Amino acid sequence: MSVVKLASEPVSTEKNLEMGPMDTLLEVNENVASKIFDRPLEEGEFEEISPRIFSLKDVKESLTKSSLNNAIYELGVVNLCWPEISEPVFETRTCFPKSYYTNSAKERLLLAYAENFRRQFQFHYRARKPLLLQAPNECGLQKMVCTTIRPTKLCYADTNTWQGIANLVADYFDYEPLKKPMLHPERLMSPYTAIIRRSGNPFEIAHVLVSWLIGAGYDAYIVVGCAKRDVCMAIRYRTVCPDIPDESEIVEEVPPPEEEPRYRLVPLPDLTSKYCQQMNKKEEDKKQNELDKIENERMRKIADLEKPPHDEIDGWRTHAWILVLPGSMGVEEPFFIEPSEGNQYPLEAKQYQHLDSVYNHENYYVNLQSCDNGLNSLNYDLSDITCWEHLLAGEPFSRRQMVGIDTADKKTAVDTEKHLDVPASWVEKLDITADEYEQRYPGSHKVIHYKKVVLEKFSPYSQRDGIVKRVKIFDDYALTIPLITYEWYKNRVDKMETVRIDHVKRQVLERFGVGRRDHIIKHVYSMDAPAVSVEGDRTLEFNYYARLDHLTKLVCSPLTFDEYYTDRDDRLESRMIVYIEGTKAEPKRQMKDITETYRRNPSIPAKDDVFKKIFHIQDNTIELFYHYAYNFITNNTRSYIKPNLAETGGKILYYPEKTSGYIADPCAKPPRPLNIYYALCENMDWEYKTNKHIRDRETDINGYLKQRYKELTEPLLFVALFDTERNEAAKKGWKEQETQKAEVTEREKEAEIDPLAPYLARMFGSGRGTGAPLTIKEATLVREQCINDFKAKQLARQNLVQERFDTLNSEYKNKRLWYLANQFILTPEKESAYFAASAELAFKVHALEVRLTRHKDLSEPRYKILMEYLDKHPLLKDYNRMRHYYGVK
Amino acid sequence: MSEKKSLNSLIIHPDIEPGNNNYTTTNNNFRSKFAEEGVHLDEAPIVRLEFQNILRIDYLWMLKSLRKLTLAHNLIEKIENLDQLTGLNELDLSFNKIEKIENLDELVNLEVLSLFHNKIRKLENMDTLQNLLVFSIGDNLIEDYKEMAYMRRFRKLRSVSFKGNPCCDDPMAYQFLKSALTRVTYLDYKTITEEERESGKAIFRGLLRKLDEADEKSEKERIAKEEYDAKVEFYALSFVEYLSGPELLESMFEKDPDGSLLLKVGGELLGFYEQYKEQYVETMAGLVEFAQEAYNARQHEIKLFKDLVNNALEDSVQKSKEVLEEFEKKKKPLTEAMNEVIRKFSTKQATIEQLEPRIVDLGESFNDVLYELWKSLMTIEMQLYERCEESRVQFSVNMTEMITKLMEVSRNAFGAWRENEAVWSMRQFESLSKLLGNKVMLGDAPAELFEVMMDRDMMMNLVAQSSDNHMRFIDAREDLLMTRANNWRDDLVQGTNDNEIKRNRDRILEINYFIDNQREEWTDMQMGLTEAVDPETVALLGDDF
Repeated sequence: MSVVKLASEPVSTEKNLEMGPMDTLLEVNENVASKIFDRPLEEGEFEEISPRIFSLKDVKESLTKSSLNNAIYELGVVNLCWPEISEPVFETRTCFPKSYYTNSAKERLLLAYAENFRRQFQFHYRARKPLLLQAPNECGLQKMVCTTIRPTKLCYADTNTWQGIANLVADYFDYEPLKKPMLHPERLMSPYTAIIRRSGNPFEIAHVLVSWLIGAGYDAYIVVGCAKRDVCMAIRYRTVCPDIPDESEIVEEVPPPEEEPRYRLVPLPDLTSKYCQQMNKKEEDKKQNELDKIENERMRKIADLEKPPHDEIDGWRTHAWILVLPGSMGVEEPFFIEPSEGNQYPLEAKQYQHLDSVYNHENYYVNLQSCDNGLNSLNYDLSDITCWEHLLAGEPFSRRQMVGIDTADKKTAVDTEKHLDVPASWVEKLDITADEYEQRYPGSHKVIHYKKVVLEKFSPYSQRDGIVKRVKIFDDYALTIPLITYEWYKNRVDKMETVRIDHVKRQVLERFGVGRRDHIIKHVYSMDAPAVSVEGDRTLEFNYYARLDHLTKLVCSPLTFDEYYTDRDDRLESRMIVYIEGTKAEPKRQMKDITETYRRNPSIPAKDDVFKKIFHIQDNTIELFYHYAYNFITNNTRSYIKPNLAETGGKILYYPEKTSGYIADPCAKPPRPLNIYYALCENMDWEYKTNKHIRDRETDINGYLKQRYKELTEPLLFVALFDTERNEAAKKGWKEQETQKAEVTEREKEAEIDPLAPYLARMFGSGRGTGAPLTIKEATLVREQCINDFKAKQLARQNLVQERFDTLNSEYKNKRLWYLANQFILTPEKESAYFAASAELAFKVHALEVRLTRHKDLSEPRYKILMEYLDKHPLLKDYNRMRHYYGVK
Repeated sequence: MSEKKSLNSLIIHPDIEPGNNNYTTTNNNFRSKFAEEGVHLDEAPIVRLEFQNILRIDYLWMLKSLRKLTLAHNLIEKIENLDQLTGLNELDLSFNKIEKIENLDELVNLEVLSLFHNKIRKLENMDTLQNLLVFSIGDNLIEDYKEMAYMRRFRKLRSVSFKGNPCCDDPMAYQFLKSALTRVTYLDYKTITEEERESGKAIFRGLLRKLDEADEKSEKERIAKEEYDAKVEFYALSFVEYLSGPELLESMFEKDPDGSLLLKVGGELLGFYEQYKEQYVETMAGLVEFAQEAYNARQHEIKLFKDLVNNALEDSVQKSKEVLEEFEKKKKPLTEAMNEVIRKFSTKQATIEQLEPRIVDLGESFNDVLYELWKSLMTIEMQLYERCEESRVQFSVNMTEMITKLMEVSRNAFGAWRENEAVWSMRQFESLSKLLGNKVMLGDAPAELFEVMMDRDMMMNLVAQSSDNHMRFIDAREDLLMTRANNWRDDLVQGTNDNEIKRNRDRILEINYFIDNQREEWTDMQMGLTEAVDPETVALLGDDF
């Protein structure tokens, strides 16, 4: 309500003059809004006919096939024959797993069980709406609703809590209201298909949400019941937008002192008349009452007009939402989640009118309690069978209470354990990829209309300027007069985070993250201000800590320029410049006064500590104000009329008559002329420096503004170093690396070593190698040489290793013998030295042994490989053929 | 007296930077200002007397606020008469003929000391200069570089210049300096690197270790002493210094020769003594604890009161400032109108007779505004004074109460002590009587004691004397506590009252002074107008101001 009031205030006061105070009627007009969002789901397309069978009407029409089918559908009769479905097609999806178009034996049993249950229920509760126990899936096959839930754990940062999951679901899907609002859905496609399609009816969306919630560990249920029209249709232009940032300032209350103050000031005598006060108060109360009355009346009218239009089938609209029961994941109170919004609602929420049944992947519970007193009056203990009728006797393990049952005894164990339970889900795992998760909204973009507000959401990187959310607040219901726009950005190179555009004041507020080169954190400017000049209305706030000059804030306007500093070493706190408008001759504005204020410097007495310097540039005077000393209510002042430097030839001369001042302390000595003179010199110098500084500052700021203008007109987005999808430079780098690697392996393959090469080279010089095959004689020679050399090399290596092995081994043995002979006369040091040495020797011997065996093992296959290679060598083709021919080995 | 004369004519004004005092080119303005004002010796922070052939340092005591003194390039032979210049921060005695470092003990704030180019042979008499930061001893006659180990005691010393001493020819000299003066960063204005230090350390390992040990010992002693002093000071704030622990009792026995003599009997007596000590410590611990708590409570009380008063003062100052601002606003149009009148008169647009009613009018309204200002400022001040008065009274009552309570507790504690003392005395007498005349038992006692123990009267006398002594000691300590606590309270309460009265008077004075000032300013403005006019008109207007 507060938003309504706030938003409608300016307009209504304007119109008050012409139409009187009650014209909010005009604004709050449902028709206007519906015209604006003339969405097809609002009117038409819906068969808002009352259902024929279960509302206990006399069915008079003749019994045709179609009316029979309709009756079956309305009653939710479970079809107990199993149609053969081959090659199912649903919209664009064709490849379905087998479980989608066939029912397993257990599923069939469950359906039969459900049909039985339905009949009994129908018999006992004739007046109640038929139950939703099954629904045809996208292949047209009836599936029990419990098996459609496929608990899945999502592995993203914020999908561990119900808030994160619910928001994801609300963002992820387009909402399709039920075609027949009073009946159960005609189809209930698998949550997997819903995720692919990115849209679904409330039941389908609720199935996705409940699957993920159960996967995340919540005790969550789908609720089948009735809700208000706005909820069923996902109409939100009567709700206040929850995304409007709260701008009311946080008032920090000073905690009252803990103990009673022992000392108190004597209160001043109160000399006003009590009677007068009372009379005044009465008068004021009366006035206030009247005002309140008018206000209340107005609010009442607005509320009246904002009420949703009358709904004929109110209380009969079928809807599905989520119930989360306490017990897991720190949930302490049961609550509802609306899947289309992702919001939590308490049990007493008015929008949910009726609760038929709840179910999860384990069981189906039918509500036996009356919903007339609101849903919060129900008992949510599902194990209480007087309140909840269970479809399956076999409770899930978590609910079972095993009292006095001996599971060791086989028979009782079977009796207690073996009930029919819900089979595993027929749906595939409901994972979504990181990409899809990031993209979030169908088509990267979602628009929601709230009351006087349009909310737009975008996925990151989908927009050129990096916007992720935009809230537009309007003054009227028809969304024609914009008031305020909020925008949120992400991943911008210029670190802009939020923008607030006030269309009434024509003011823009930009906020930045820390880390900009110019350290701006807030920039407020008028839309009419020139974009790249300081001579407009704007305020810049800086992260002073990072700046060398400790500049905190700049406030510019056409004729002023104020700088504020924090924590500067020279104690300067602010510098304010007032300009006068430029004349025809000199169009540029000219400085009139410069006022600088300084913090108190505790190390020097107040009378010497300048508090404020004012340079009157046009009048050629300087005024100095000093700080207030303790217990003083006046401060020292000093004013100078500046000497004309041109006349004195650049020298600063001192004339006592051109300065005057006031000394606050009556007991103080008069100041010395010399000191006064020095102060004058100093401040004239300072004035010159300040002038220069201001010119520099203006140039700087103009530079910043130019930079900002560029950033705004050509937004750039920042890509994280590790973002494999978007980091183009890195991607290019990888690709290059990959190709390089590929090239290297390619080259290596080509440059296979030809063991014949050195022999060929020896025979023919290094140019040879690719020419025609060698003659048989040459080939024999080369081949022989090659094989002989190979053999010799192998042998040499073996000998070498063997030799070393032998030496070391004998050394080892010798040592051992020496030790055995001397072990009783050895000193402990020597003994330990021996052990160390012998361990090392043993290791070496062992290593050589291993090498030797390895060599022996390998030399045979190596030789084979060489032979094979030589047999296939192109240059030895002739020779090989001959050899083959003669069978020479 | 030659120094005196040169001093007067050559003091450079504080604000001129030393390098900037070019006498010939500085414009005459400065000089004429000096001539007019004279020199304020007691305010001069910097004095430079260089190349003056000064033979002796003297008459510098009048430069009370001196912070930097340069007496370079003179003929000084002895450091003297600097005792009064305690605020001295920088002392330059370079290029003189000084032979001995002396008479610097009072200059505890000295940070920069230059004795460059003198005739010093030994480093000495500088122990009190704990703040020394920069020290120059170059170009002197130091023969032994080990002398320089003296500089290790200056914990803040960062820069030393040493070049030009005879021992500098020894290559080991610098090695030693670099390694020994571990806290010094710059030697001869060059940074000492870590490697240089290390290599020096390797050479002088033994010597350095000795030095280090000595240093460490003195350092430890210093820290222990500081800690002890701090503790005593802290206890003194709650008037119970030296009362925690047995030390006071021990000192009591030390001061009483008779008692300690009797103690030498030993045996049973020592056990009783220990018991006595224990009881004493216990009693006093209770008192000390209570006194600490009382101290905290008092501080809290003072803080509460001070907060109230300060806040009230702040408020009133704020209010007064607002009133003054208001006044400035009202005054502005009046001043402008007056200026307008003056302008008209000076441009001869109107005669004084025509303007007279206007001037009188303005004067009256200005006086009204001024009176209004005076009234509101005085009201604010009076309110402040009166509103705080009650709290002040309350505060003094509370303080008195707290001190009284403390006294009571301390009286009890001291009473207990006296009782303990009496018990001790009795036990002492009893155990001594047992031994009286027992030559065997007293065999190894000192001769004096033996003699005493042989004579009953003497022994009794001694016991009585010791007991008397002790009682006197206890009384003195109790008196000290009481007087100090009472004095403290009186000072605090009286001080608070006095301060408040002084503050009040200061404020009223300031208000009136300001009002007078304003009035004077206005009169000046009118005078400017009437100066050119005949005295009759002045007389006519004169009534108003």
